[in-house]
Amino acid sequence: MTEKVVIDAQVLFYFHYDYQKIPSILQQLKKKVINGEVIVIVPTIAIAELLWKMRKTGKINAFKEALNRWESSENIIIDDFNLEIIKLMLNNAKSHELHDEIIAMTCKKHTTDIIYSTDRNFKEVFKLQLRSWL
Amino acid sequence: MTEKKTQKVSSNGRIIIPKEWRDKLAIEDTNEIELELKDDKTILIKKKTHPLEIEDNLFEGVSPFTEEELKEVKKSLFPNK
Repeated sequence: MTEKVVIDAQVLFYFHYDYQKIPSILQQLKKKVINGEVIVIVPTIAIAELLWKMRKTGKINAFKEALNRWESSENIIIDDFNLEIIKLMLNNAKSHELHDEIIAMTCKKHTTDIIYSTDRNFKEVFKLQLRSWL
Repeated sequence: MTEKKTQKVSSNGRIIIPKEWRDKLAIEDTNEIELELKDDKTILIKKKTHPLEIEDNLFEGVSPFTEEELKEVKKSLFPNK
């Protein structure tokens, strides 16, 4: 079965950055995506974060092009924040940082526990398998 | 310059992409190709390119997220009162 992973805004950024300068764990991930060996789930919240950054730097056309590329990739799934995620959040007793909780519940929604990020909360709070480059 | 080759089609419709053409286009085992049937009755065969394969450094000139930016963007999504 093809591995499914969730990625955050930093990883999305690195997908379109100078390949030689990106962390090796992300070079490997990018190769796997290109070869169709992995399905990447992108929470819309991560896309919003990257939009925030790219708008600040005036790279909106580059962002639009990147969005087109994600949308046209068969193994990149853009996942909306929706009621299903809210229902998964109901299983969490405590109130967590919403940003992290939404992304963590996106993992649950897609029955994966693998997340590419540097945020330790995913491991410590949500018990996910964190694939970090730090 | 256009190169041409002639081949017989096998009983189940198979043809072979010549090795030198595969090498030129870096088509390897298990790679996917796209076949396009044109109105003029020609068939176009293209190596399927994944959108992430386009190495044009789309985000050139922008630096990766800093810790500060990550905090700031989280705040902008769900600001604390």
